[in-house]
Amino acid sequence: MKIRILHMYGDIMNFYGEYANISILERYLVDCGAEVEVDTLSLYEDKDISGYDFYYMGSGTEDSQKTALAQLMKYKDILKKMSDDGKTILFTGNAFELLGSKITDANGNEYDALGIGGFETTEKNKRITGDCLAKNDDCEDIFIGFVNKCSITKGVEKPMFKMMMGYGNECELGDEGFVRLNTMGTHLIGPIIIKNPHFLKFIAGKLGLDIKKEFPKQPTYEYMTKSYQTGLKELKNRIEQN
Amino acid sequence: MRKILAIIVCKLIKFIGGFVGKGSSLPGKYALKICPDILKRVHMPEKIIAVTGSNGKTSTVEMIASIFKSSGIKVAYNIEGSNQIEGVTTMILDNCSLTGKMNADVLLIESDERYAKYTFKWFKPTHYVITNLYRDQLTRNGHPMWVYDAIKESVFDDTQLILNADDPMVSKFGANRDNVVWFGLDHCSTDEEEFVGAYNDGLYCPICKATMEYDYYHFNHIGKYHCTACDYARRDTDYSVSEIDLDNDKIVVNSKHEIKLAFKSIYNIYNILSAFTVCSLIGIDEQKIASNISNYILKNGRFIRFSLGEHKGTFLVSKHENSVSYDMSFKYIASQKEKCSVIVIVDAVSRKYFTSETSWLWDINFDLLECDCVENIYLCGKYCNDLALRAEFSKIDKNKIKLYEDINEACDIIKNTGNENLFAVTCFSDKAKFISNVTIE
Repeated sequence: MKIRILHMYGDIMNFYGEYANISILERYLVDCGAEVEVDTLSLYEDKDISGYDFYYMGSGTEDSQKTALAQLMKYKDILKKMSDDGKTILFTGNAFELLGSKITDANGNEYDALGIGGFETTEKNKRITGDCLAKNDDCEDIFIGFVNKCSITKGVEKPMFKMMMGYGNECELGDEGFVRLNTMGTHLIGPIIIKNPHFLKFIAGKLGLDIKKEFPKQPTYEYMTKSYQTGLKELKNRIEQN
Repeated sequence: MRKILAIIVCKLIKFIGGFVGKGSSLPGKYALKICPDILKRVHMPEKIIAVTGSNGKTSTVEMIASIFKSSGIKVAYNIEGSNQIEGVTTMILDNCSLTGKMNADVLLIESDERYAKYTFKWFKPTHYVITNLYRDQLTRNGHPMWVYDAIKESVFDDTQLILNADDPMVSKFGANRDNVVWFGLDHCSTDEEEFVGAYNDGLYCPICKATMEYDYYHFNHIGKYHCTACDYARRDTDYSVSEIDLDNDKIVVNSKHEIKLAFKSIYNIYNILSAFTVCSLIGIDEQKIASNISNYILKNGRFIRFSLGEHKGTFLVSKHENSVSYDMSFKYIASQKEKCSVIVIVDAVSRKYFTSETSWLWDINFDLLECDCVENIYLCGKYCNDLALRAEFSKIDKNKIKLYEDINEACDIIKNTGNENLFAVTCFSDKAKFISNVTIE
């Protein structure tokens, strides 16, 4: 069985090294012994995007996000169907906002979004940045990451994380991100799959094959494990200091 | 009265601070508390030059100041690290008489790109240089367009803009505006026909978001671009580097003025060109500028020669959280003809604030280090595993990579092995940890 990955708008929604999420996932699946196909969708491209096992989009500037959204809306129905069918969708950084029903920019202009979730996002003129520690109910290990946004998201039915440090959907600790079936959105930026080795296994496990059963010899990556430990230690120390 | 008090307090704290080695922003901070609009009340020189942008501010200001001084122009300027309003205030008041008259022909200000709007709320620059806009310290800056919007608030209609024509984001400041002087590089021997880098911020037009095309790239997304849909394109330049001859360490400006390079980096070339442009606009004889800036060696410690055991080394200050600056250093290393080893250190991401964020490593083009001249790559510091993981996803031969969390241990081992040239690449935040292990030449 072949696992098909679609990296969406990586040419414009790529502001914090997000392409590396796809690089590590591809390597892991190949090292497991799976056959993997990575496909890209560029900004002005038209193509049939149905039938992928994993859809990914990373972060961009507020401007780029609106540009991406304008193009993305032609795939609204198909993405909704893919989400309903239980395909794995991960949108990180401000791509997460696209999964909701509406985005309002700092000037009050409103943009309809994909509507996979009912939540709405409002952009402000203030930047919110900070290191994060987050807990997800389905993963034992704590997530490390970084939030870099200028918006508040309200009305999320089911969040992805409980924040231990950093900023949640409403810019305080508390709930962060969005989950619906296998569709996930989070404002954590950058290569979060690389930063969190447990998330790599978690995502791989969602991609239609039982990795444990089919590939008993799962690879681990020493540098990745150690850099996670370094990051976790730094951030935990930081919490204790404050 | 408040004005005089603020000036006296500022001078006094600066004077005392000089003895205890305290920073240069504190005196200005107190002066602003005593008299919040003090900058409006100071009698400024006729010419006020400001320099901002992601990279090259400090070096450009240093060069301009040097040319001014040797041309007999009295210049007041700030040194690196004091480029927000408090530091600028300290510098201005320190160069003032007690009645608030600046004792200088020209005021030259390096301005932090996000805070320029606060400084220039009180007075306007007559000349405003914007060097470039890159992904830089995104953990506090957000992203380059966020910085663009912040700088925009400090750009006034009657200010003479001096813009880098090769940077599509910087050039946006000059759209629909006449009083712009453009500087840039002509098609040079060092150009690339295809894009080289881990990401391309020049793919889409900053104005209309349609696809952009490049005739050539000087580096990363800096080059000759045009939009395929609207009329946005790289502007013709008033001041140009018309020739780069790295074999003979020289450039030619406006097909006329030869300038020798003390350091063969394209950064240095841009800094020289922007300094040349400003000085020419102020009215200094161009031949004089060229001879003043020829072979100029920066004094701001961004380029240091050292030795370690049998090794001769060069320290290239790069900026963490700034991938273009790393790309530049790596490119410089890759252009070496002799064998060398490279030391990359990421121990503290920033010296000014806490963060453990390492996403920016993925924006650096580590492929550049896969070249014949590089023998070993030592990845050091607390984040050595992040560096190693990043390098694993590059073309670098894995056998070349050596990992040391402890910088001192790495230096000990390097000291006792081999005699090849060394290049140390890291940020100010980690500079001292390395420098303490070597002998400065």
